[in-house]
Amino acid sequence: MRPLALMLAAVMGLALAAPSARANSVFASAGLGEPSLEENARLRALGGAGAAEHGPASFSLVNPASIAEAQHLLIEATLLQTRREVTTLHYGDETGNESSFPAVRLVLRLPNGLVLGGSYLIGTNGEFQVTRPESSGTASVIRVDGRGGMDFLRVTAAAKLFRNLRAGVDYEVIGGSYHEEWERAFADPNLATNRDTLDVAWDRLGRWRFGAQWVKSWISLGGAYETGRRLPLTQRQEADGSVVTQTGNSLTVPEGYVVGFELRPRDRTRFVGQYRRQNYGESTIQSDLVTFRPLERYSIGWERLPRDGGRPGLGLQRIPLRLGFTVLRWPDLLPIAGASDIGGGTAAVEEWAASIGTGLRTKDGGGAIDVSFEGGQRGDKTTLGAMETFFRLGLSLRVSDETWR
Amino acid sequence: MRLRPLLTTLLVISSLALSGCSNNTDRVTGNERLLRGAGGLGTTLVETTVPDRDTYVTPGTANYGSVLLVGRDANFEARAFFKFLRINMPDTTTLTGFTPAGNVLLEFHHVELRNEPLELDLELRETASALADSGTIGWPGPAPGLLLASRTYDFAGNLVMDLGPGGFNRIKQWATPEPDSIPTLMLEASAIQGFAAFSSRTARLRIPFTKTVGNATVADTVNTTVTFDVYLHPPLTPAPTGSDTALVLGGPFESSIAIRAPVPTVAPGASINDLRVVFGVIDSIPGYVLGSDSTATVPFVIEIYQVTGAWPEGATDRSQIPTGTSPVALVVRSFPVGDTLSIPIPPVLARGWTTLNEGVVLSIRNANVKPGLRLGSRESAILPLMRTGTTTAPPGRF
Repeated sequence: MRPLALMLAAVMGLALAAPSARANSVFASAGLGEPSLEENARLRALGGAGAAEHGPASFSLVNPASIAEAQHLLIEATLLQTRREVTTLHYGDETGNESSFPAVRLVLRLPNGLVLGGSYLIGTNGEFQVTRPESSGTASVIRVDGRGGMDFLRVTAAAKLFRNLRAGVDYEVIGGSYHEEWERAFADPNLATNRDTLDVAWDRLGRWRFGAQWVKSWISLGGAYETGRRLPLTQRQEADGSVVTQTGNSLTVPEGYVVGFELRPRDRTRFVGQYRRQNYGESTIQSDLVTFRPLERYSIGWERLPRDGGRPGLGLQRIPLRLGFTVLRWPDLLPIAGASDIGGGTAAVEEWAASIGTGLRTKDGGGAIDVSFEGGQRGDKTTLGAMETFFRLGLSLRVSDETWR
Repeated sequence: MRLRPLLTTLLVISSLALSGCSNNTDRVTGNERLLRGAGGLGTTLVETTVPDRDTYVTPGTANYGSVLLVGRDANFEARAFFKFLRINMPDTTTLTGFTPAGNVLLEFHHVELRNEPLELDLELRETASALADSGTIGWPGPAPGLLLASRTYDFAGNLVMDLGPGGFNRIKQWATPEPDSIPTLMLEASAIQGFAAFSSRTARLRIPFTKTVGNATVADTVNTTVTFDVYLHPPLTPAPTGSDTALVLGGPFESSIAIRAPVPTVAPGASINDLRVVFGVIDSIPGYVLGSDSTATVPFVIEIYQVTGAWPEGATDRSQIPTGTSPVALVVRSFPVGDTLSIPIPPVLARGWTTLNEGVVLSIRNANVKPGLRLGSRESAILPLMRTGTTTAPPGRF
């Protein structure tokens, strides 16, 4: 395990040291931001299809019942390194890199068979950076740095109820905020640079998620239902000597559900699939700049499991091979290219990604390093004025109390 | 095939491919999707307004500053007054062999001015009457009384006025009882020759004597530093009327400018990028500049006070214009200032001016030893202008 740990540390170091300049999604400057796939690299390589994921060390974050078979104390973290290539109608092309931690998870099995979990995960990524000349009135150069998004702090309880039935429940607090820093500089030295900050925050309230899995040797089915929650919003704009606070609006995080399956036609082969829906809609938030539709994600994956035994000389058959494909329909309906708000028409962000991955496990099966590599596209230059091609390297490290023995 | 080296290699290659500094991230493509409504991303407007009230005022005829001016020229006169609360006398009851040695001296610490005359005839006198309370002291002050000393000062070192052979006995009378018996002293020029400057609160009375220590005779001096001093000058004539075509800033009469102009309404959340008043410079007043300002340009500090209540344009005295006691901002400039004098005002004032805009008072710190300026008023051909730059609040995300 030691060489692997060193290797992972080196790779993470490379990833974290690099991104002094960031390049988040071009679509993250509006609406709720880029939806994040919270799963680990193992499930990312399978297109994110985790609703039926089960096992002593195989977890999904979309279904709380997924951890019911955990045997150890486990900690898992995922690092995502993304490269984006953006093409636009009017502003040319750019490429950029960024790093993120989509999720961290702790799982603990109690002596009575109840499994508890705690996790922190990114819901949406609202980060963006823009520099632009502005000619409205006196000429200036505007630099906008946006950060934040929705994130979740979650506790989970799960148990194996019957031989084939697992159940779990999540309670998660919806946290985060959207923060933008605007800086406007002028060529005229008599005009002082003005700095504004915009914050959108909400009351930290919680919601529930209930999940279940029905597990057989060759087929497993899983599903979860999550409740909605209305979050009172506070919008705050601050300039030098002035603070304007607005309340009265609200953000509604909708109810939703996920269903999925796992098929094992042969010992070393499995297929997974999932459909996830969160019912965002026009009532999500009242705004002239964005409206909403339900978020939908379709995921499908194939995995060739490693051959048991681990005898020397078996080569590539000692590691798993995973392939996946996913289609994501962003909930945000954004103003079309050329429009300044949704009154001029809206367009949706459609996204697809194909993925491949593998991993290594420790002898006890509790520790693992999983890798995923994804490539995909989102957006449309005709309707939205911009399109992104993205590549993601996902690295997940999982350790258990057995790993250190 | 060994898998771990292979996996390690693949991981490092992939990571290197996806990491590193971003390429071509000019942060420009994000503009394609930074859409925040019909109002755009905010607008900056710079508007100029003409003052509807301006005048200049003086702070009275007494100066309690750090530099005392004494002298006369064709345009100005200054005489200094000094008071001691008590005088330190040699303790003749305990000193062995006490003997006054030499005359009592009053020494003034010289502060060099740029343009000093070669000589200045100065007189040290008692005043004929007591000095009024500091709040009511005004030109010309108490009439000159008994002449204590006179000297033609050649500006070589400090000014030392010799109170003469009878000086010690006179001082003894002053000290009984203190402080009522101590007269006010005044220092004035007896001819129109120019000015000398002295450091305030540093003049000292020196009583030399000898005493016996063992078998030796030892010289000693008891010093007393002046408790209070001020110099007075005549009032500015002619007095400002409020409709003068020139506004005087600084100069020997220490004029301040009061000016008020309407400013555009600043909406909540808007930024104020600029608030300044720009004057056209008519000419300058050389004044009595300190020798320490020996550079080609003389630095000076303009103090900006917020006016807190109504004031008439015909005001002549600084006390007629209500302001806080401390300036809200300081602006450093250097003399000569050029054709215009641009003074930035703290933008935050403009927010309050939505409800109460009475303008500002501008003063030059230590104006008595700095050059002054004559600036165009709103009644002149070179109008002062108030310039206000504002930017509307940036649009929110939702």
